[in-house]
Amino acid sequence: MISQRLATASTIPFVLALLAEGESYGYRLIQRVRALSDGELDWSEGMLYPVLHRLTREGLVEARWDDEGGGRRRRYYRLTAEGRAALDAERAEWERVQHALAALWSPRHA
Amino acid sequence: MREPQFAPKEERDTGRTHEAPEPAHAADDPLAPHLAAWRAAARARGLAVDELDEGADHLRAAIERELVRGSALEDACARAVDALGDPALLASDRRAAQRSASISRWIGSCLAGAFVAGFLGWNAPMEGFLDGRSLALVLGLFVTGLWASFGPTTTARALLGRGTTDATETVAVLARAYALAWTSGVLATLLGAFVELSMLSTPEALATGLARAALALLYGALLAELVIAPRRALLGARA
Repeated sequence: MISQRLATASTIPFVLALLAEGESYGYRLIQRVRALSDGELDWSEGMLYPVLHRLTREGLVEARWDDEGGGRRRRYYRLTAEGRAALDAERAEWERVQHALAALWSPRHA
Repeated sequence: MREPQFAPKEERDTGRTHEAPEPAHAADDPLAPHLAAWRAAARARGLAVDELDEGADHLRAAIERELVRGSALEDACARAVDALGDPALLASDRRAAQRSASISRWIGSCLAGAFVAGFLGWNAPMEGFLDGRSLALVLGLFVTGLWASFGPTTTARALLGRGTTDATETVAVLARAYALAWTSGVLATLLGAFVELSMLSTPEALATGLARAALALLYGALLAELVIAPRRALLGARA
């Protein structure tokens, strides 16, 4: 299982990247990241929703309510143009980190 | 049917009860009483209606998944509500966000804006395209808006690119800064125009005064397009 520290650090890029695939809602995001990581990343709801709400406040994500029938409402989130810019910036940062670590851990370096 | 167990874990453990004055639900919906019980407990802990709806929808999805896996209803409910955690934490997140835009922050931001406007506007030069008072007003409004939105530390970190920068945070601040620069220019122009129009006793000075007021729009545009926009473009280029 991936450490809580790394899971927390990667939450925002994951959320932005998942929403770049299309609009989604909290429960589906949790299931999706669990499937993508083969169960290694197990987000808690208490971690995800504050992040979604923060990104919404900052204008990177926008939310809409959808009537699911039977009096049920579901909040869908989707990326804004600013959110896409933020995703690009996050991706660039993570790729730099990945590149540096890959270089450091490559057999040639060792 | 057993009593709904869709309340936070500690309430189940302590045996405390709660009322569930929730909207009417379909009689053939076995989850409805459990969700209503959770909503009542969560509302008592300070969750707003939107948060209640989102939490209830999440719990329903989680319970349905557990049921598909073969869990008993009560077990599914208990597991789902435990996974969701204490509703008070979700409410505290909202309260923290509200606090961040609290009166004290607004006072701080207004003082900062007034300081910037006063500092620059004091004995400000007025020559050609340089009107110190308009510039001071634009910058004062700009600083007030950004400070109120993000606070001084985040604003400075994102605009100056110093300290521990957060890419997502920087994008959000710069987007707001760009919009605020234009807005400040428009507001300062309108304010200036009102001031000039209120002094119709000296009509010969009106044209000059209105022209000076219009300069504020130019300053706002320059701030947005020559200061903020390149920074945003640089961030995009790096990405």
